[in-house]
Amino acid sequence: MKTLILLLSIFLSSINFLSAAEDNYDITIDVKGLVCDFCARSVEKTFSKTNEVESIKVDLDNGLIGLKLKDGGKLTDEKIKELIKANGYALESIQRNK
Amino acid sequence: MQTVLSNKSFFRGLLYFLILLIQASFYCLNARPISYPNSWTIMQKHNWEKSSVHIHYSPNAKNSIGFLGAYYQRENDRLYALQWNHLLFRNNQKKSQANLYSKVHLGRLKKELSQTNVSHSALNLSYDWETRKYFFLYAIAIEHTDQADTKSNTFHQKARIGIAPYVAPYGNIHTWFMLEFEHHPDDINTENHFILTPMVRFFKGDYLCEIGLNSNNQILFNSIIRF
Repeated sequence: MKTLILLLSIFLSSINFLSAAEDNYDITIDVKGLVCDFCARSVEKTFSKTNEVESIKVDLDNGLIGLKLKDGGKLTDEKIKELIKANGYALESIQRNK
Repeated sequence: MQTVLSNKSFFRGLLYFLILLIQASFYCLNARPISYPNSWTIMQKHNWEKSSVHIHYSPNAKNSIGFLGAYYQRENDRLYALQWNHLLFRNNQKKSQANLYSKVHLGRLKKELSQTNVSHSALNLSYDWETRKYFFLYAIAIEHTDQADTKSNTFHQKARIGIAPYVAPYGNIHTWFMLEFEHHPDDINTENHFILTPMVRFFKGDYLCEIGLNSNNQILFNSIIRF
């Protein structure tokens, strides 16, 4: 039963990541505390201001942020963590889709 | 006859606020006292006690500083103050967020009756917890007014619960049904010792508004714009 729950959890969490990956987002960020539009807008505005990001997709239901980088754009994990923290939220994980 | 007239006035007032609400083009609040880094917020509030405007700048996600202006309807007093809001604590979870804020203001209160200017200060502590479906807030405030011949301290507290009838995707209009309970034990009018205000909150992007009617049949209207 425990194995089944574990497999189901892995499957469901992979669906979350896939939803961002399907839209060709380069980076998927899993954020804690993203519970309202205001929170999401805050993060969206911050990433929009960086030179590396071309577009952003927010999935509020799953607390995920998808980032599409500009050609040649690079955003390190440390920088992402710093930006999320500066907005008052907590980083759960970062997945690079490409 | 008087009741009919007052009812007409009430509905006219309600209609006026509804028009304002629609004019706000559905841009209606997450009432957080601090916005995102390097941004401005305009908060307008109107309730049974006062009408106020609070314009503040948030240099980071933990602080905001700004001007607070308020007009107290009963005494026709006016307050001009500087206010500092600070995030003392935040707990981020995957599906919820909890915050503890302090709000301090220092300013001058222009007393209409005595035609005097006195110093006024307040300390407010508020705790909120929210998910995408539920909301809870509790706040206490202590206000100090330095009168010419006497000093007065007042205490009041409030609690608010809210439920979202639907969970809208990001970018859509969010609606909340809320119930606010206020306790003003120091108010000279006993009708104001306990006040219950059901209200509806609309929130979209950087805009929020709330409209309600309290247990003394007085209108509440709040709005927030962030930029």
